[in-house]
Amino acid sequence: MSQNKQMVSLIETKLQAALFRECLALVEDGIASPEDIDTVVKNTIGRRLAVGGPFEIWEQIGWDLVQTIAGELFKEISNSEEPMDVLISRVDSGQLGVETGSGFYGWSKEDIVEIRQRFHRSGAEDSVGGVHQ
Amino acid sequence: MTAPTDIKKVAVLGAGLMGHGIALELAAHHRSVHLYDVSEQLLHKAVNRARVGLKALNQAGLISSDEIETSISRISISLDLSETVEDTDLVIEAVSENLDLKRSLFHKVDKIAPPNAVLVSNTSTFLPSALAVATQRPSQVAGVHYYNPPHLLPGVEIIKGPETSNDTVELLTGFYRSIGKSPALIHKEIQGFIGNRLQVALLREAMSIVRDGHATAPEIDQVVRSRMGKLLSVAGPFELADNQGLDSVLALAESEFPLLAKDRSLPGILMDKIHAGDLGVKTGRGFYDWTVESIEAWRKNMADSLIDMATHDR
Repeated sequence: MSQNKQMVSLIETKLQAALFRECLALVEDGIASPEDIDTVVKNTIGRRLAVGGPFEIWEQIGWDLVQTIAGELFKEISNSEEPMDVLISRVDSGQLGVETGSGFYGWSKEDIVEIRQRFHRSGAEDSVGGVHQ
Repeated sequence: MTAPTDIKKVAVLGAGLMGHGIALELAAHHRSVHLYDVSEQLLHKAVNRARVGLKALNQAGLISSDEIETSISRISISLDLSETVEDTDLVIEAVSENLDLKRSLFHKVDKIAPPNAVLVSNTSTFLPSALAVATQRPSQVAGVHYYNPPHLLPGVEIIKGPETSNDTVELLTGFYRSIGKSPALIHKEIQGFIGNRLQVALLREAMSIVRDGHATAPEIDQVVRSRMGKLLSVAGPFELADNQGLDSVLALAESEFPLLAKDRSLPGILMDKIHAGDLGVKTGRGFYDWTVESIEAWRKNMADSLIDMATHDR
């Protein structure tokens, strides 16, 4: 891998893992369902992240205010070193996602066509596999 | 029990950045809106800003051009709290993040608003239970957290406090769907709700990547904008995981979780900026240098892109 590709891969791996760890913790603790977490991401922060990365977005608000908002949350968010049961139990029972027809969601042929259209629309479909490709 | 379609008159308390956006969206969806604030000047400014926001909805193809002025005519402004809430079905509080101020408003509104009215707060800082205690109707109090700009980002978090009734949650969920929003339910109140916790988890990791010298802040932003963010604007993390295969996601979690940032306080690289007064756009410098032109260009690009994305929601 070129140096640039390595850097992109490192950034994506770590940010994806950090994001998904907190998502899993919220489901594991009964705070929200996977569907509702996905709803929030797609319809709020995901749209902003498609236009601006985390640093430039927080720079609009100002780091002094981030100190107030994020300071407390740094103490609260998950530091788990281990994956949560909501993920492990699905893998153990062979629910691997799209390829097996169910995972966090049930997947019909129509659902798969529909989400692939969304990936295509995003213009970033080559990164769906993330670091695994 | 009140049905979502029975919510026709809505009071919005606070005519600032969030309040005017919340009001214009309600008006565009045929609700009669009473907008309250303590400054007449701010109220007039809010109506002008609402007109600009309605033009953006028109640009996105979400409303016709005739609907811009029709919607404005559905918004009435008032400096009188009693007049604002005495005849409403739903009260949305969007004043500044000051707990005493919010509690005092909830206390007054509770005494004046009709007994069936539901009272919600757009706060991102306080939990619904902290506001419900100021009222005699805690089962009809909840959080409804919007994201800026409220009329262009369809997601809202509906936060159920310990005393919020299921009827209230169902009513709010149905109501927000009926005005074109995508509501998400938070079953137990928790600091940061969903969106802010996820943003902070991302920020903490991003800071740690910079601190460890793996990439600069602009390099991280570039990767997020061009790839990860684009995907997250069309699919959520769980949908993505199902598409990647949960076996490989589990393998990633097992290898990466132990290596992720664990900071419980803000990292030195950020505290140094704060101490130096490099706070971002407001001081012209943070992790980037900002000029009046680059700030304006950044904001325009964000607004135009969010309008484009909203077009796909039709």
